[in-house]
Amino acid sequence: MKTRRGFFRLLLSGVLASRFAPAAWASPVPGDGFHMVNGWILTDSDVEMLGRYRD
Amino acid sequence: MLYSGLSEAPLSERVFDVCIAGGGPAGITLARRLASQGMDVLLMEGGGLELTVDSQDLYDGKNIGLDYYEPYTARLRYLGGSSNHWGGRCRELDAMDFHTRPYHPLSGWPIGKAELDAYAAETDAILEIGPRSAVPDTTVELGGQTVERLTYRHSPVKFLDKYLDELKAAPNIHVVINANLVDMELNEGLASVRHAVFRSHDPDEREYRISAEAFCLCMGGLENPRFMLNANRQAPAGIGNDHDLVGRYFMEHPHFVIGDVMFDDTVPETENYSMPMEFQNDQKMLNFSVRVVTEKLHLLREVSRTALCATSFGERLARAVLGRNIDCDVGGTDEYFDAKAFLADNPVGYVQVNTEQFLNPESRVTLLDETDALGMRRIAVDWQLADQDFHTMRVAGEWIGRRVAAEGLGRVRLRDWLLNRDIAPPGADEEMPGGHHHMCTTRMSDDPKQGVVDRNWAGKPVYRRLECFCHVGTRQSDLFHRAAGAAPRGSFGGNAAKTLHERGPGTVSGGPDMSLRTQGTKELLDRFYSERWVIS
Repeated sequence: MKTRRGFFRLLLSGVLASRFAPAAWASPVPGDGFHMVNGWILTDSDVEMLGRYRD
Repeated sequence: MLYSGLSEAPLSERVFDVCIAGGGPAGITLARRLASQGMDVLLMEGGGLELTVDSQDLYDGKNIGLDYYEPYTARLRYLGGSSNHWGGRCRELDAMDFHTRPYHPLSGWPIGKAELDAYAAETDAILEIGPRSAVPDTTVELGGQTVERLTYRHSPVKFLDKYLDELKAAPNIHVVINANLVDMELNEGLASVRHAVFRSHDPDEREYRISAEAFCLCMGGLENPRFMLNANRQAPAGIGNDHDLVGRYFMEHPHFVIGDVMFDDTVPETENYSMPMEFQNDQKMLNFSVRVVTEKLHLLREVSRTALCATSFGERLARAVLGRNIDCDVGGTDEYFDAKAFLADNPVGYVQVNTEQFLNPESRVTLLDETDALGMRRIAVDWQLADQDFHTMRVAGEWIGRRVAAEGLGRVRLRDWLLNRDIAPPGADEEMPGGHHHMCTTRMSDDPKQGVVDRNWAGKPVYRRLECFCHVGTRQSDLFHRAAGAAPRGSFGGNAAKTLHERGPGTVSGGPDMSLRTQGTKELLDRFYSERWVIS
Protein backbone atom coordinates (compact mmCIF):
# COMPACT_ATOMS: atom_id res chain seq x y z
CA MET A 1 0.00 0.00 0.00
CA LYS A 2 2.84 2.28 0.79
CA THR A 3 4.39 1.58 -2.59
CA ARG A 4 1.11 2.21 -4.40
CA ARG A 5 0.69 5.58 -2.72
CA GLY A 6 4.23 6.29 -3.73
CA PHE A 7 3.48 5.35 -7.29
CA PHE A 8 0.52 7.67 -7.61
CA ARG A 9 2.39 10.47 -5.91
CA LEU A 10 5.13 10.06 -8.43
CA LEU A 11 2.68 9.85 -11.28
CA LEU A 12 0.91 12.93 -10.06
CA SER A 13 4.09 14.91 -9.73
CA GLY A 14 5.36 13.57 -13.01
CA VAL A 15 2.26 14.47 -14.95
CA LEU A 16 1.58 17.78 -13.32
CA ALA A 17 5.19 18.87 -13.27
CA SER A 18 5.44 18.32 -16.98
CA ARG A 19 5.13 21.37 -19.14
CA PHE A 20 1.53 21.31 -20.29
CA ALA A 21 -1.02 23.73 -21.57
CA PRO A 22 -4.62 23.31 -20.42
CA ALA A 23 -5.75 22.63 -23.95
CA ALA A 24 -3.39 19.67 -24.15
CA TRP A 25 -5.00 17.97 -21.19
CA ALA A 26 -6.03 14.42 -21.90
CA SER A 27 -5.93 14.08 -25.64
CA PRO A 28 -7.11 10.64 -26.66
CA VAL A 29 -4.78 7.96 -27.92
CA PRO A 30 -6.02 5.08 -30.04
CA GLY A 31 -7.69 2.43 -27.95
CA ASP A 32 -10.67 2.77 -25.68
CA GLY A 33 -10.02 4.04 -22.23
CA PHE A 34 -6.63 5.67 -22.74
CA HIS A 35 -5.50 9.24 -22.97
CA MET A 36 -2.31 11.20 -23.35
CA VAL A 37 -1.33 14.05 -21.06
CA ASN A 38 2.02 15.66 -21.72
CA GLY A 39 3.25 12.46 -23.27
CA TRP A 40 1.99 10.24 -20.45
CA ILE A 41 -0.28 7.45 -21.58
CA LEU A 42 -2.93 7.27 -18.90
CA THR A 43 -6.09 5.35 -18.12
CA ASP A 44 -9.56 6.85 -17.72
CA SER A 45 -9.25 6.69 -13.97
CA ASP A 46 -5.81 8.31 -14.03
CA VAL A 47 -7.18 11.24 -15.97
CA GLU A 48 -10.25 11.57 -13.82
CA MET A 49 -8.24 11.49 -10.60
CA LEU A 50 -5.49 13.76 -11.81
CA GLY A 51 -7.92 16.10 -13.50
CA ARG A 52 -9.90 16.56 -10.31
CA TYR A 53 -6.75 17.29 -8.39
CA ARG A 54 -5.56 19.69 -11.06
CA ASP A 55 -8.85 21.57 -11.03
CA MET B 1 46.21 -20.29 -48.70
CA LEU B 2 46.92 -16.89 -47.17
CA TYR B 3 49.01 -14.22 -48.88
CA SER B 4 50.01 -11.09 -47.03
CA GLY B 5 50.02 -8.93 -50.13
CA LEU B 6 49.20 -8.78 -53.81
CA SER B 7 52.82 -9.18 -54.85
CA GLU B 8 53.03 -12.51 -53.06
CA ALA B 9 49.90 -14.08 -54.52
CA PRO B 10 49.89 -16.16 -57.73
CA LEU B 11 47.68 -13.76 -59.65
CA SER B 12 49.24 -13.31 -63.06
CA GLU B 13 47.74 -14.94 -66.15
CA ARG B 14 45.29 -16.87 -64.09
CA VAL B 15 41.51 -16.95 -64.33
CA PHE B 16 39.83 -17.77 -61.06
CA ASP B 17 36.37 -19.25 -60.89
CA VAL B 18 35.29 -16.54 -58.50
CA CYS B 19 36.90 -13.38 -57.18
CA ILE B 20 35.33 -12.12 -53.96
CA ALA B 21 36.03 -8.58 -52.74
CA GLY B 22 35.60 -8.36 -48.98
CA GLY B 23 36.68 -10.84 -46.33
CA GLY B 24 33.94 -10.36 -43.78
CA PRO B 25 31.36 -12.96 -42.77
CA ALA B 26 29.66 -12.87 -46.18
CA GLY B 27 32.87 -13.14 -48.17
CA ILE B 28 34.33 -15.86 -45.98
CA THR B 29 31.11 -17.85 -46.02
CA LEU B 30 30.79 -17.55 -49.77
CA ALA B 31 34.41 -18.54 -50.31
CA ARG B 32 34.07 -21.64 -48.13
CA ARG B 33 30.85 -22.69 -49.79
CA LEU B 34 32.12 -22.31 -53.35
CA ALA B 35 35.44 -23.92 -52.55
CA SER B 36 33.59 -26.91 -51.12
CA GLN B 37 32.08 -27.32 -54.58
CA GLY B 38 35.53 -27.48 -56.12
CA MET B 39 35.79 -23.91 -57.32
CA ASP B 40 39.01 -21.97 -57.37
CA VAL B 41 38.23 -18.95 -55.20
CA LEU B 42 40.16 -15.72 -54.76
CA LEU B 43 39.15 -13.89 -51.58
CA MET B 44 40.47 -10.33 -51.52
CA GLU B 45 40.49 -8.45 -48.21
CA GLY B 46 41.39 -4.79 -48.08
CA GLY B 47 42.63 -4.90 -44.51
CA GLY B 48 45.03 -7.21 -42.80
CA LEU B 49 44.72 -9.55 -39.86
CA GLU B 50 44.24 -6.74 -37.37
CA LEU B 51 43.02 -3.18 -37.20
CA THR B 52 45.39 -0.69 -38.81
CA VAL B 53 45.24 3.02 -39.51
CA ASP B 54 45.94 2.63 -43.23
CA SER B 55 43.00 0.33 -43.73
CA GLN B 56 40.49 1.76 -41.30
CA ASP B 57 41.02 5.31 -42.53
CA LEU B 58 39.54 4.29 -45.88
CA TYR B 59 36.21 3.97 -44.10
CA ASP B 60 36.26 7.60 -43.00
CA GLY B 61 33.59 9.90 -44.39
CA LYS B 62 30.79 12.18 -43.27
CA ASN B 63 27.22 12.04 -42.16
CA ILE B 64 25.26 14.60 -44.14
CA GLY B 65 21.81 13.53 -42.94
CA LEU B 66 20.68 12.68 -39.45
CA ASP B 67 23.19 12.54 -36.63
CA TYR B 68 24.43 9.01 -37.22
CA TYR B 69 27.44 6.90 -36.31
CA GLU B 70 30.67 8.02 -37.90
CA PRO B 71 31.33 5.81 -40.94
CA TYR B 72 34.75 4.72 -39.67
CA THR B 73 33.40 3.53 -36.34
CA ALA B 74 30.43 1.58 -37.60
CA ARG B 75 32.43 -1.24 -39.16
CA LEU B 76 35.88 -2.79 -39.12
CA ARG B 77 38.15 -3.13 -42.11
CA TYR B 78 40.21 -6.27 -41.68
CA LEU B 79 39.77 -9.99 -42.25
CA GLY B 80 36.65 -11.14 -40.47
CA GLY B 81 35.14 -7.69 -40.99
CA SER B 82 32.71 -6.32 -38.49
CA SER B 83 32.26 -9.71 -36.86
CA ASN B 84 35.44 -8.68 -35.05
CA HIS B 85 33.38 -6.31 -32.92
CA TRP B 86 29.85 -7.52 -33.20
CA GLY B 87 27.98 -8.68 -30.14
CA GLY B 88 26.46 -11.62 -31.95
CA ARG B 89 22.79 -10.97 -31.33
CA CYS B 90 20.90 -12.87 -34.02
CA ARG B 91 17.39 -13.11 -35.24
CA GLU B 92 16.14 -14.51 -38.50
CA LEU B 93 13.76 -12.74 -40.81
CA ASP B 94 10.03 -13.02 -40.24
CA ALA B 95 7.82 -14.33 -43.01
CA MET B 96 5.99 -11.00 -43.00
CA ASP B 97 9.20 -9.24 -43.91
CA PHE B 98 8.95 -10.65 -47.43
CA HIS B 99 5.35 -9.58 -47.97
CA THR B 100 4.05 -6.57 -49.80
CA ARG B 101 2.26 -4.01 -47.69
CA PRO B 102 -0.25 -1.93 -49.66
CA TYR B 103 0.65 1.26 -47.81
CA HIS B 104 4.41 0.74 -48.32
CA PRO B 105 5.38 1.37 -51.96
CA LEU B 106 8.04 -0.97 -53.37
CA SER B 107 7.72 -3.34 -50.42
CA GLY B 108 7.78 -7.10 -50.82
CA TRP B 109 10.72 -9.28 -51.76
CA PRO B 110 11.05 -11.23 -55.01
CA ILE B 111 11.99 -14.24 -52.88
CA GLY B 112 10.21 -15.80 -49.94
CA LYS B 113 11.40 -16.79 -46.49
CA ALA B 114 11.38 -20.46 -47.45
CA GLU B 115 14.27 -19.89 -49.83
CA LEU B 116 16.40 -18.76 -46.92
CA ASP B 117 15.01 -21.20 -44.38
CA ALA B 118 16.50 -24.05 -46.39
CA TYR B 119 19.87 -22.88 -45.15
CA ALA B 120 18.96 -22.12 -41.57
CA ALA B 121 20.68 -25.18 -40.14
CA GLU B 122 23.88 -24.35 -41.99
CA THR B 123 23.76 -20.78 -40.75
CA ASP B 124 23.11 -21.92 -37.20
CA ALA B 125 26.20 -24.11 -37.39
CA ILE B 126 28.38 -21.32 -38.76
CA LEU B 127 27.23 -18.93 -36.09
CA GLU B 128 27.09 -21.60 -33.37
CA ILE B 129 23.75 -20.33 -32.17
CA GLY B 130 21.79 -23.55 -31.85
CA PRO B 131 18.47 -24.24 -33.51
CA ARG B 132 15.75 -21.63 -33.61
CA SER B 133 13.36 -24.17 -32.16
CA ALA B 134 15.30 -24.07 -28.89
CA VAL B 135 14.29 -20.46 -28.26
CA PRO B 136 10.98 -19.89 -30.03
CA ASP B 137 8.99 -16.71 -29.87
CA THR B 138 6.03 -17.01 -27.56
CA THR B 139 2.82 -15.17 -26.96
CA VAL B 140 1.89 -13.69 -23.62
CA GLU B 141 -1.06 -11.82 -22.23
CA LEU B 142 -0.16 -8.21 -21.62
CA GLY B 143 -2.82 -5.84 -20.46
CA GLY B 144 -5.64 -8.02 -21.76
CA GLN B 145 -4.13 -8.50 -25.22
CA THR B 146 -2.20 -11.42 -26.66
CA VAL B 147 1.16 -10.08 -27.76
CA GLU B 148 4.32 -11.60 -29.20
CA ARG B 149 7.37 -11.97 -27.00
CA LEU B 150 10.43 -12.09 -29.22
CA THR B 151 13.61 -14.00 -28.56
CA TYR B 152 17.13 -13.73 -29.85
CA ARG B 153 20.12 -15.99 -30.16
CA HIS B 154 23.68 -14.90 -29.55
CA SER B 155 26.66 -15.95 -31.60
CA PRO B 156 30.15 -16.13 -30.09
CA VAL B 157 31.72 -16.43 -33.52
CA LYS B 158 34.40 -14.07 -34.77
CA PHE B 159 34.96 -15.16 -38.35
CA LEU B 160 38.67 -14.40 -38.31
CA ASP B 161 39.28 -16.47 -35.21
CA LYS B 162 37.04 -19.31 -36.33
CA TYR B 163 38.09 -19.65 -39.93
CA LEU B 164 41.64 -18.33 -40.29
CA ASP B 165 43.30 -21.72 -39.95
CA GLU B 166 40.80 -23.29 -42.32
CA LEU B 167 41.34 -20.58 -44.92
CA LYS B 168 45.10 -20.95 -44.65
CA ALA B 169 44.83 -24.69 -45.20
CA ALA B 170 42.28 -24.64 -48.02
CA PRO B 171 44.07 -25.40 -51.30
CA ASN B 172 41.48 -23.72 -53.50
CA ILE B 173 40.78 -20.61 -51.43
CA HIS B 174 43.41 -17.95 -52.05
CA VAL B 175 43.06 -15.26 -49.40
CA VAL B 176 44.97 -12.08 -50.16
CA ILE B 177 45.05 -9.43 -47.46
CA ASN B 178 45.93 -5.76 -48.00
CA ALA B 179 44.22 -6.05 -51.39
CA ASN B 180 41.90 -3.09 -52.01
CA LEU B 181 39.37 -3.09 -54.83
CA VAL B 182 39.73 0.22 -56.66
CA ASP B 183 38.11 -0.33 -60.05
CA MET B 184 36.45 -2.74 -62.43
CA GLU B 185 37.15 -2.83 -66.14
CA LEU B 186 34.07 -3.62 -68.20
CA ASN B 187 33.94 -5.36 -71.52
CA GLU B 188 32.71 -3.62 -74.65
CA GLY B 189 29.07 -2.77 -74.34
CA LEU B 190 29.61 -2.55 -70.60
CA ALA B 191 27.77 -5.84 -70.30
CA SER B 192 30.23 -7.72 -68.16
CA VAL B 193 33.29 -7.33 -66.02
CA ARG B 194 36.65 -8.04 -67.63
CA HIS B 195 38.96 -7.35 -64.72
CA ALA B 196 38.78 -6.26 -61.14
CA VAL B 197 41.59 -3.89 -60.20
CA PHE B 198 43.24 -4.12 -56.79
CA ARG B 199 45.90 -2.09 -55.04
CA SER B 200 47.81 -2.42 -51.82
CA HIS B 201 48.21 0.39 -49.30
CA ASP B 202 51.66 1.12 -50.73
CA PRO B 203 51.26 4.00 -53.21
CA ASP B 204 54.38 2.90 -55.05
CA GLU B 205 53.14 -0.61 -55.70
CA ARG B 206 51.51 -1.31 -59.05
CA GLU B 207 47.86 -2.20 -59.63
CA TYR B 208 46.79 -5.80 -60.19
CA ARG B 209 44.15 -6.75 -62.74
CA ILE B 210 42.33 -9.90 -61.76
CA SER B 211 40.50 -12.21 -64.13
CA ALA B 212 37.68 -14.43 -62.96
CA GLU B 213 34.55 -16.09 -64.24
CA ALA B 214 32.54 -14.18 -61.66
CA PHE B 215 33.14 -11.27 -59.34
CA CYS B 216 31.36 -10.78 -56.04
CA LEU B 217 31.14 -7.63 -53.96
CA CYS B 218 30.99 -8.55 -50.27
CA MET B 219 32.07 -5.30 -48.71
CA GLY B 220 28.94 -4.38 -46.80
CA GLY B 221 26.00 -2.04 -47.14
CA LEU B 222 28.10 1.11 -47.12
CA GLU B 223 31.16 0.05 -49.02
CA ASN B 224 29.52 -1.82 -51.89
CA PRO B 225 27.62 1.25 -53.11
CA ARG B 226 30.60 3.47 -52.39
CA PHE B 227 32.73 1.34 -54.68
CA MET B 228 30.06 1.08 -57.37
CA LEU B 229 29.56 4.83 -57.44
CA ASN B 230 33.30 5.40 -57.53
CA ALA B 231 33.80 3.00 -60.43
CA ASN B 232 32.60 5.47 -63.06
CA ARG B 233 35.45 5.44 -65.55
CA GLN B 234 33.36 3.63 -68.19
CA ALA B 235 29.87 3.98 -66.76
CA PRO B 236 29.56 7.65 -65.78
CA ALA B 237 26.91 7.06 -63.11
CA GLY B 238 28.84 4.15 -61.66
CA ILE B 239 28.63 0.40 -62.04
CA GLY B 240 25.09 -0.96 -61.97
CA ASN B 241 23.65 2.51 -61.58
CA ASP B 242 21.80 2.98 -64.85
CA HIS B 243 18.64 3.80 -62.94
CA ASP B 244 20.20 5.93 -60.21
CA LEU B 245 19.43 3.36 -57.53
CA VAL B 246 22.87 2.47 -56.16
CA GLY B 247 23.16 3.86 -52.66
CA ARG B 248 19.52 4.89 -52.44
CA TYR B 249 17.01 3.51 -49.92
CA PHE B 250 19.73 3.34 -47.27
CA MET B 251 18.06 2.23 -44.09
CA GLU B 252 18.77 1.22 -40.55
CA HIS B 253 16.81 -0.36 -37.78
CA PRO B 254 15.95 2.70 -35.67
CA HIS B 255 16.80 1.82 -32.07
CA PHE B 256 15.64 5.00 -30.38
CA VAL B 257 14.51 5.21 -26.79
CA ILE B 258 11.00 6.47 -27.40
CA GLY B 259 9.64 6.61 -23.89
CA ASP B 260 10.22 6.30 -20.18
CA VAL B 261 8.45 3.98 -17.80
CA MET B 262 7.42 4.65 -14.25
CA PHE B 263 6.81 1.24 -12.75
CA ASP B 264 4.38 0.51 -9.97
CA ASP B 265 5.51 -1.95 -7.32
CA THR B 266 6.38 -4.79 -9.70
CA VAL B 267 9.40 -4.33 -11.92
CA PRO B 268 9.22 -6.82 -14.78
CA GLU B 269 12.09 -8.50 -16.56
CA THR B 270 13.30 -6.80 -19.72
CA GLU B 271 11.37 -8.20 -22.68
CA ASN B 272 10.91 -7.56 -26.41
CA TYR B 273 7.30 -7.31 -27.54
CA SER B 274 5.67 -7.07 -30.94
CA MET B 275 2.37 -7.64 -32.71
CA PRO B 276 1.37 -9.70 -35.75
CA MET B 277 1.21 -8.37 -39.29
CA GLU B 278 -2.58 -7.96 -39.11
CA PHE B 279 -2.18 -5.44 -36.30
CA GLN B 280 0.63 -3.67 -38.13
CA ASN B 281 -1.35 -3.47 -41.35
CA ASP B 282 -4.37 -2.18 -39.50
CA GLN B 283 -2.22 0.57 -38.03
CA LYS B 284 -0.47 1.18 -41.37
CA MET B 285 2.82 0.78 -39.60
CA LEU B 286 5.95 -1.20 -40.42
CA ASN B 287 7.42 -4.17 -38.61
CA PHE B 288 8.53 -3.33 -35.10
CA SER B 289 9.38 -4.47 -31.65
CA VAL B 290 9.52 -2.54 -28.41
CA ARG B 291 11.76 -3.41 -25.54
CA VAL B 292 10.62 -2.54 -22.07
CA VAL B 293 13.91 -2.13 -20.27
CA THR B 294 14.19 -2.08 -16.53
CA GLU B 295 17.04 -0.22 -14.90
CA LYS B 296 19.09 -2.79 -13.09
CA LEU B 297 22.01 -2.10 -10.83
CA HIS B 298 24.94 -4.45 -10.57
CA LEU B 299 26.67 -4.24 -7.21
CA LEU B 300 29.62 -6.43 -8.10
CA ARG B 301 30.31 -4.49 -11.27
CA GLU B 302 30.28 -1.19 -9.39
CA VAL B 303 32.51 -2.57 -6.66
CA SER B 304 34.88 -3.72 -9.40
CA ARG B 305 34.69 -0.36 -11.12
CA THR B 306 35.63 1.39 -7.90
CA ALA B 307 38.56 -0.94 -7.36
CA LEU B 308 39.87 -0.68 -10.92
CA CYS B 309 39.47 3.09 -11.02
CA ALA B 310 41.39 3.49 -7.78
CA THR B 311 44.71 3.25 -9.64
CA SER B 312 45.91 4.04 -13.12
CA PHE B 313 47.19 0.48 -13.33
CA GLY B 314 43.67 -0.83 -12.84
CA GLU B 315 42.39 1.35 -15.64
CA ARG B 316 45.20 0.28 -17.95
CA LEU B 317 44.73 -3.35 -17.06
CA ALA B 318 41.04 -3.19 -17.93
CA ARG B 319 41.82 -1.54 -21.24
CA ALA B 320 44.44 -4.12 -22.12
CA VAL B 321 42.39 -7.16 -21.14
CA LEU B 322 38.85 -6.08 -21.95
CA GLY B 323 39.71 -3.84 -24.88
CA ARG B 324 37.78 -0.88 -23.57
CA ASN B 325 37.99 2.03 -21.22
CA ILE B 326 36.37 2.04 -17.83
CA ASP B 327 34.25 5.12 -17.32
CA CYS B 328 35.48 6.23 -13.91
CA ASP B 329 33.37 9.40 -13.89
CA VAL B 330 30.17 7.53 -13.19
CA GLY B 331 29.06 4.65 -11.05
CA GLY B 332 31.07 3.11 -8.29
CA THR B 333 29.93 1.86 -4.94
CA ASP B 334 28.77 5.24 -3.58
CA GLU B 335 26.58 5.93 -6.57
CA TYR B 336 25.35 2.35 -6.51
CA PHE B 337 23.91 2.66 -3.04
CA ASP B 338 22.46 6.10 -3.77
CA ALA B 339 20.84 4.81 -6.94
CA LYS B 340 19.60 1.68 -5.24
CA ALA B 341 17.88 3.71 -2.58
CA PHE B 342 16.30 5.94 -5.19
CA LEU B 343 15.12 3.10 -7.39
CA ALA B 344 13.62 1.29 -4.44
CA ASP B 345 11.07 4.08 -4.17
CA ASN B 346 11.13 5.17 -7.80
CA PRO B 347 11.34 2.14 -10.04
CA VAL B 348 11.85 3.34 -13.58
CA GLY B 349 12.80 2.02 -16.96
CA TYR B 350 12.54 2.96 -20.60
CA VAL B 351 11.04 1.83 -23.88
CA GLN B 352 13.37 1.21 -26.79
CA VAL B 353 12.00 0.66 -30.24
CA ASN B 354 13.43 -1.43 -33.03
CA THR B 355 11.66 -0.89 -36.31
CA GLU B 356 11.73 -1.48 -39.99
CA GLN B 357 12.24 1.66 -42.04
CA PHE B 358 10.18 3.05 -44.87
CA LEU B 359 11.71 2.75 -48.35
CA ASN B 360 12.90 6.28 -48.95
CA PRO B 361 15.11 7.06 -51.98
CA GLU B 362 16.28 10.28 -50.35
CA SER B 363 17.92 8.28 -47.57
CA ARG B 364 21.11 7.32 -49.31
CA VAL B 365 24.82 6.71 -49.54
CA THR B 366 26.65 9.06 -51.84
CA LEU B 367 30.16 10.42 -52.32
CA LEU B 368 32.15 13.39 -51.06
CA ASP B 369 34.59 15.23 -53.29
CA GLU B 370 37.37 14.41 -50.85
CA THR B 371 39.35 11.32 -51.76
CA ASP B 372 41.11 8.73 -49.64
CA ALA B 373 44.65 7.43 -49.90
CA LEU B 374 43.66 5.18 -52.78
CA GLY B 375 42.09 8.02 -54.73
CA MET B 376 38.55 6.84 -54.07
CA ARG B 377 35.97 9.46 -53.13
CA ARG B 378 35.01 9.16 -49.50
CA ILE B 379 31.56 8.16 -48.36
CA ALA B 380 28.73 10.49 -47.44
CA VAL B 381 25.94 8.89 -45.44
CA ASP B 382 22.63 10.72 -45.74
CA TRP B 383 20.43 8.80 -43.36
CA GLN B 384 16.84 10.03 -43.21
CA LEU B 385 13.70 9.13 -41.34
CA ALA B 386 10.43 9.41 -43.25
CA ASP B 387 7.07 10.47 -41.82
CA GLN B 388 6.11 6.80 -41.90
CA ASP B 389 9.05 5.96 -39.65
CA PHE B 390 7.90 8.44 -37.04
CA HIS B 391 4.39 7.04 -37.41
CA THR B 392 5.62 3.49 -36.77
CA MET B 393 7.57 4.55 -33.69
CA ARG B 394 4.72 6.60 -32.29
CA VAL B 395 2.13 3.87 -32.82
CA ALA B 396 4.50 1.40 -31.19
CA GLY B 397 4.99 3.72 -28.23
CA GLU B 398 1.30 4.35 -27.76
CA TRP B 399 0.61 0.65 -28.03
CA ILE B 400 3.13 -0.39 -25.39
CA GLY B 401 2.00 2.51 -23.21
CA ARG B 402 -1.53 1.14 -23.24
CA ARG B 403 -0.35 -2.37 -22.54
CA VAL B 404 1.86 -1.33 -19.63
CA ALA B 405 -0.95 0.68 -18.08
CA ALA B 406 -3.59 -1.98 -18.64
CA GLU B 407 -1.36 -4.63 -17.13
CA GLY B 408 -0.89 -2.46 -14.06
CA LEU B 409 2.87 -2.39 -14.50
CA GLY B 410 3.10 1.39 -14.49
CA ARG B 411 2.80 4.24 -16.96
CA VAL B 412 4.77 5.26 -20.03
CA ARG B 413 5.68 8.77 -21.09
CA LEU B 414 6.67 9.19 -24.73
CA ARG B 415 9.72 11.29 -25.48
CA ASP B 416 9.17 14.87 -26.62
CA TRP B 417 10.83 14.41 -30.01
CA LEU B 418 8.34 11.69 -30.87
CA LEU B 419 5.41 13.96 -30.09
CA ASN B 420 6.81 17.13 -31.58
CA ARG B 421 8.45 16.90 -34.99
CA ASP B 422 10.10 20.28 -34.45
CA ILE B 423 12.41 18.51 -32.02
CA ALA B 424 15.16 16.46 -33.64
CA PRO B 425 15.52 12.85 -32.55
CA PRO B 426 18.60 12.17 -30.45
CA GLY B 427 21.85 11.68 -32.28
CA ALA B 428 24.61 9.16 -31.98
CA ASP B 429 26.33 11.19 -29.28
CA GLU B 430 23.31 10.85 -27.02
CA GLU B 431 22.10 7.32 -27.57
CA MET B 432 21.96 4.56 -30.16
CA PRO B 433 19.86 5.83 -33.07
CA GLY B 434 20.29 2.57 -34.96
CA GLY B 435 21.83 -0.85 -34.83
CA HIS B 436 24.79 -0.25 -37.16
CA HIS B 437 22.75 -2.17 -39.73
CA HIS B 438 23.49 -0.80 -43.20
CA MET B 439 20.83 -2.01 -45.56
CA CYS B 440 19.11 -1.72 -48.92
CA THR B 441 21.70 0.33 -50.80
CA THR B 442 21.71 -2.19 -53.67
CA ARG B 443 18.24 -3.44 -53.01
CA MET B 444 16.81 -6.55 -54.63
CA SER B 445 14.04 -6.44 -57.21
CA ASP B 446 13.03 -8.26 -60.35
CA ASP B 447 12.45 -4.86 -61.95
CA PRO B 448 15.78 -3.19 -62.81
CA LYS B 449 14.08 0.17 -62.37
CA GLN B 450 13.34 -0.68 -58.75
CA GLY B 451 16.39 -2.59 -57.65
CA VAL B 452 20.07 -3.11 -58.34
CA VAL B 453 20.26 -6.88 -57.94
CA ASP B 454 17.75 -9.51 -58.95
CA ARG B 455 16.46 -12.53 -57.07
CA ASN B 456 19.63 -14.41 -57.96
CA TRP B 457 21.75 -11.75 -56.29
CA ALA B 458 23.10 -10.75 -59.69
CA GLY B 459 23.70 -7.23 -60.83
CA LYS B 460 21.45 -7.04 -63.82
CA PRO B 461 21.02 -6.74 -66.63
CA VAL B 462 24.26 -5.09 -67.51
CA TYR B 463 26.91 -6.78 -65.49
CA ARG B 464 26.41 -10.39 -66.19
CA ARG B 465 29.75 -11.33 -64.80
CA LEU B 466 29.35 -9.22 -61.73
CA GLU B 467 27.15 -11.97 -60.57
CA CYS B 468 26.75 -11.56 -56.90
CA PHE B 469 26.53 -8.82 -54.38
CA CYS B 470 26.87 -10.83 -51.25
CA HIS B 471 26.63 -8.16 -48.60
CA VAL B 472 25.16 -8.48 -45.26
CA GLY B 473 28.07 -9.82 -43.37
CA THR B 474 27.16 -9.38 -39.79
CA ARG B 475 24.95 -6.36 -39.81
CA GLN B 476 25.31 -4.93 -43.22
CA SER B 477 23.00 -5.88 -45.98
CA ASP B 478 22.80 -3.64 -48.94
CA LEU B 479 20.71 -6.04 -50.97
CA PHE B 480 17.80 -6.09 -48.57
CA HIS B 481 14.74 -5.37 -50.54
CA ARG B 482 13.37 -3.71 -47.49
CA ALA B 483 14.57 -4.02 -43.96
CA ALA B 484 12.86 -6.31 -41.57
CA GLY B 485 11.66 -4.83 -38.34
CA ALA B 486 11.67 -5.70 -34.74
CA ALA B 487 15.29 -6.66 -34.65
CA PRO B 488 18.43 -6.96 -36.61
CA ARG B 489 17.17 -9.43 -39.13
CA GLY B 490 19.15 -10.06 -42.17
CA SER B 491 20.44 -12.98 -43.94
CA PHE B 492 24.08 -13.00 -43.31
CA GLY B 493 26.38 -15.25 -45.21
CA GLY B 494 23.31 -17.02 -46.40
CA ASN B 495 22.94 -14.33 -48.97
CA ALA B 496 26.44 -15.06 -49.94
CA ALA B 497 25.87 -18.76 -50.13
CA LYS B 498 22.87 -18.20 -52.33
CA THR B 499 24.93 -16.64 -55.03
CA LEU B 500 26.04 -18.45 -58.13
CA HIS B 501 25.11 -22.07 -57.62
CA GLU B 502 23.61 -22.14 -54.20
CA ARG B 503 20.91 -20.53 -52.19
CA GLY B 504 21.62 -19.21 -48.77
CA PRO B 505 20.33 -18.85 -45.25
CA GLY B 506 19.81 -16.06 -42.88
CA THR B 507 20.59 -14.45 -39.61
CA VAL B 508 22.31 -11.32 -38.38
CA SER B 509 23.76 -9.61 -35.40
CA GLY B 510 23.80 -7.28 -32.46
CA GLY B 511 25.43 -6.43 -29.15
CA PRO B 512 28.60 -4.69 -28.21
CA ASP B 513 31.96 -6.34 -28.04
CA MET B 514 35.21 -4.48 -28.04
CA SER B 515 37.74 -7.26 -27.86
CA LEU B 516 39.45 -6.27 -31.08
CA ARG B 517 42.78 -7.06 -32.51
CA THR B 518 44.48 -3.73 -32.78
CA GLN B 519 47.78 -2.70 -34.15
CA GLY B 520 48.59 0.20 -32.04
CA THR B 521 49.35 3.54 -33.37
CA LYS B 522 48.43 6.03 -30.74
CA GLU B 523 46.16 7.92 -33.09
CA LEU B 524 44.09 4.91 -33.97
CA LEU B 525 43.87 3.63 -30.46
CA ASP B 526 42.89 7.05 -29.18
CA ARG B 527 40.13 7.24 -31.74
CA PHE B 528 39.08 3.75 -30.94
CA TYR B 529 38.93 4.22 -27.21
CA SER B 530 37.61 7.75 -27.15
CA GLU B 531 34.76 7.09 -29.52
CA ARG B 532 32.36 4.30 -28.99
CA TRP B 533 33.21 1.71 -31.53
CA VAL B 534 30.38 -0.39 -30.36
CA ILE B 535 27.78 -2.13 -32.38
CA SER B 536 24.52 -3.62 -31.43
